Amino acid sequence: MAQLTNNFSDWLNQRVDTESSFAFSEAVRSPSLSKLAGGIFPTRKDEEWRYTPLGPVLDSSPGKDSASELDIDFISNLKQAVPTGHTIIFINGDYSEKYSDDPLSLDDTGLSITHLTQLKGPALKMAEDIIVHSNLTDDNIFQHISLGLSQAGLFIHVEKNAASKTPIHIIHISTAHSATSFTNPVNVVRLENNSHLKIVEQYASPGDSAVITVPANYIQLEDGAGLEYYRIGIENAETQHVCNTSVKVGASASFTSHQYLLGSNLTRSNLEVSFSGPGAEAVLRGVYLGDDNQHLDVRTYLDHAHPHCSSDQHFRGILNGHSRGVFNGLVLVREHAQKTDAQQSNKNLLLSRDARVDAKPQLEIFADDVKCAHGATVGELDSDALFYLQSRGIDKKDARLMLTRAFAAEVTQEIGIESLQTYVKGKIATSLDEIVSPRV
Amino acid sequence: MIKENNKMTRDNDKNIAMSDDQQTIQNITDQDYKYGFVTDIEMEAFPKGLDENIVRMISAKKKEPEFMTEWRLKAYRHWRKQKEPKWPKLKYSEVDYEDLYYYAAPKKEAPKSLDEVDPELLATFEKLGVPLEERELLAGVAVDAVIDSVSVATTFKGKLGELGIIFCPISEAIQEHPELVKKYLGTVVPYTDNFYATLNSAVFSDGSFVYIPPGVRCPMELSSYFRINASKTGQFERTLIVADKGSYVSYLEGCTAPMRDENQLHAAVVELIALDDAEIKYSTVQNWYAGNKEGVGGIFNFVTKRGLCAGNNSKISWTQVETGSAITWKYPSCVLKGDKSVGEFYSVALTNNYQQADTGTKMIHLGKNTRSLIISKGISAGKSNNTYRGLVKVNKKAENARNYSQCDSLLIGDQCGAHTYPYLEIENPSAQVEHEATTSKVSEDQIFYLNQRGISTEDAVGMIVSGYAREVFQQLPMEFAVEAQALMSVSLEGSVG
Repeated sequence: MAQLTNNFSDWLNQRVDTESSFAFSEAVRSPSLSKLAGGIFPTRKDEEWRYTPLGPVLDSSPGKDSASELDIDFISNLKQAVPTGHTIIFINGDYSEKYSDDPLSLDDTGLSITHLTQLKGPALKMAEDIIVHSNLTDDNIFQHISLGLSQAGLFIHVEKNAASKTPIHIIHISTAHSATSFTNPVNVVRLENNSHLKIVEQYASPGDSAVITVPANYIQLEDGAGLEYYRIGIENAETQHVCNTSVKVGASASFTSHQYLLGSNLTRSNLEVSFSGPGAEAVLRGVYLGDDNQHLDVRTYLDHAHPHCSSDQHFRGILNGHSRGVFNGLVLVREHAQKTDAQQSNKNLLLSRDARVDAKPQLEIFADDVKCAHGATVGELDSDALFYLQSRGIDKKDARLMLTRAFAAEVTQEIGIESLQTYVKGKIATSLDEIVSPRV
Repeated sequence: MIKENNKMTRDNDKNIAMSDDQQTIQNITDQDYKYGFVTDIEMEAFPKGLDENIVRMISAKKKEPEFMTEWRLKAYRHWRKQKEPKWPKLKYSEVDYEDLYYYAAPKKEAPKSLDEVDPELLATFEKLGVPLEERELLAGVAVDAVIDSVSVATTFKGKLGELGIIFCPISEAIQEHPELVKKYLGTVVPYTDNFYATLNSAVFSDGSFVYIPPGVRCPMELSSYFRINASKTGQFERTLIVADKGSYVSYLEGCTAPMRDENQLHAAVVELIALDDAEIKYSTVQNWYAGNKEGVGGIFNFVTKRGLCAGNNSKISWTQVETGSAITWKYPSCVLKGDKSVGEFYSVALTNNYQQADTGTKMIHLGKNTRSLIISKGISAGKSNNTYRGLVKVNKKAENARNYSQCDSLLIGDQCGAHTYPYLEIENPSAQVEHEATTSKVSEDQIFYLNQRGISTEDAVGMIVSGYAREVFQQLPMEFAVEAQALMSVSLEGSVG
């Protein structure tokens, strides 16, 4: 099961000595470092990785380029997604004071944003407690990369009853010239009782930079809190992206997550949500849109550990070229989690002869008084619908485009920030324009 | 009787046996017992454990041709390199493969009459309506001449022989039809397939062989039930069914009555091959000993079943009702190789007390315009765990493949588990694949409604479960379906209220 030596692992372990100013304390880092020293990365024989080969990540041996000058248009284009938001920009893992909004301009009582490296004393303890109590498993090697080696990231904290008006817009930009660039940012988010917040996280890599990104997010929602969390990946085709998100949702709290995987060569997004009190709710949405040789893998793990919680997952895949989509979702309903309502839906559209989808929607149920259902479909565009549009004088290419856009829109229309909805729909439309052509 | 009703079923068999006059019975009892090796086994037992010698001895004992001995040895050598799979969602104590008898265990003292048999078992027979004369057989009572079973086998043979159908123990087929066995054995489940199938290939004791010649529609449901009971070949059973072009056969395996069996480990292999335009319907009712209420004892059932739709327009349909065994590990599969071939899987898996089932199917679409249907109904009660695990794979060249899967779970009580692990691997855009699963429970409202109509809680649960699993029962031959429903109620006894 183990791949013992590889370039990437060697490189990571060297980093322990060559770098300094890591984000976390020794107590959090050392167990992770010893895991990394073992260098055991999952292979296709591991059930959770059976459809996703890690070769592109493991064979690389990144270097680090210093932050370079960026095209201001490129940045303002990214900011377009949430013009009303408070923007924080990281370039190659380093905070960019130049491009980010002035921290002092953020005027939201109860909301505080601190760089992880500046955390001290009780605040550091608070952040690390959230990490220690997260539900990511110990054999998740990528979270050990985050904990052991991360040098940057944010601690976002909302005090109780505070409802933040401004969405936090975090943009990670990776550029590289000589060697593959590597970043592993960590965000820790704590929402105290009845507080509310929106976060938009965006990943971009301009040009043809080779990039490896291993981010992690640790989110804790306390009783009655509400978080809307958006994640947009629009990286270039040389990017490998493996991320972990762990969310704990307290009693009557509500967590909404949207993921749009529109770029990269390989993306593996692992989202683990667990309920830590009754009456909580989780809504997970996502679209993965692949072309050429892209490999997009969405994994969700929903742990219903308490009664009266509901979860609703809806993921859609559009695959063109030689791309490959993977959906691997698990709903676990533990004993005593009665009155659970868990819905999971995964629909996939194959646009080309060589595209491929692997879906694994799973249910593990240990309580009887529950409503659980899942569904998965794979197919091509409905020929009747195409014919109908053509009979109305719409040419085949436009009809295909229309239906494919509509397929994605069923998810994107639920995006709760208007500008972001327009932005994501636009990105999807642009990609589809390029890839949808009449099949001969 | 047979002329009146082509469907040869267990109930009919009983009637035949009873209605036959004394003369016939006399004739039959005077006959030599066809499956002579049974008496041989009783006299000698092979030592425990497994090595090449044991494999050679089994092969020699069965007077097998050289190619079989070699095949078994290849399997044995491969098995030594394999590891027992750990991926199923099953927990059980390790099986010590060196502590088993691979040919026949020395016979334990059989009960001399029904008076010595566990009264609980007899009560179950009563509820299932098992005919009196069969009870002794099923309870393993030492009966000198099992009249009805032999008579049925003989009646079968004559009629089938006229049509050119071969239906005999596989050991007999190896000797009498080696060319057919050599051509088809291991072509669907190769000896390298998996740990249990490989073990089976090395040591299989017996099983059934069926060959239906081109264009023949087998006039009766073939059943392995009687013969298997009589000869106790259950442990490492091997079944091979070949339906030649344009033929049809329906085959029944197992029976509804609980069977006592001293062998804890069962590793059977079933291979089906359907050539052009042929259809095979394979129905199983499995109700082996599931262990007691505390989960002690019970059969470990590791079965490899696979059908190959080799020809165009061929069809293979699996129907299973699994209620017994402490552990069930079983994935009857269809490889849809021929164009326009069809695979179906209907399953009811019921677990109670501490039973564990990890079962499902694989539908592998290779040919064009292939279709598959999966209907799986899991029922968990008590402290049991019931898992559906299924694969739908559409290969790159399988144009216009169509699959629909429905996998429902019913939970009875809050101590049990129901799990669904579907795998969809789709490499062709023209495929249309749908999977749906739901989970529900037997609600208090439903029971209350039936109670209020004067139906006892126990009957109400039986009724609800029967309704829930109706789509699968409909696939069973009628008499079997009636018994299977009775079996559901009996298996669920004590799980409610």
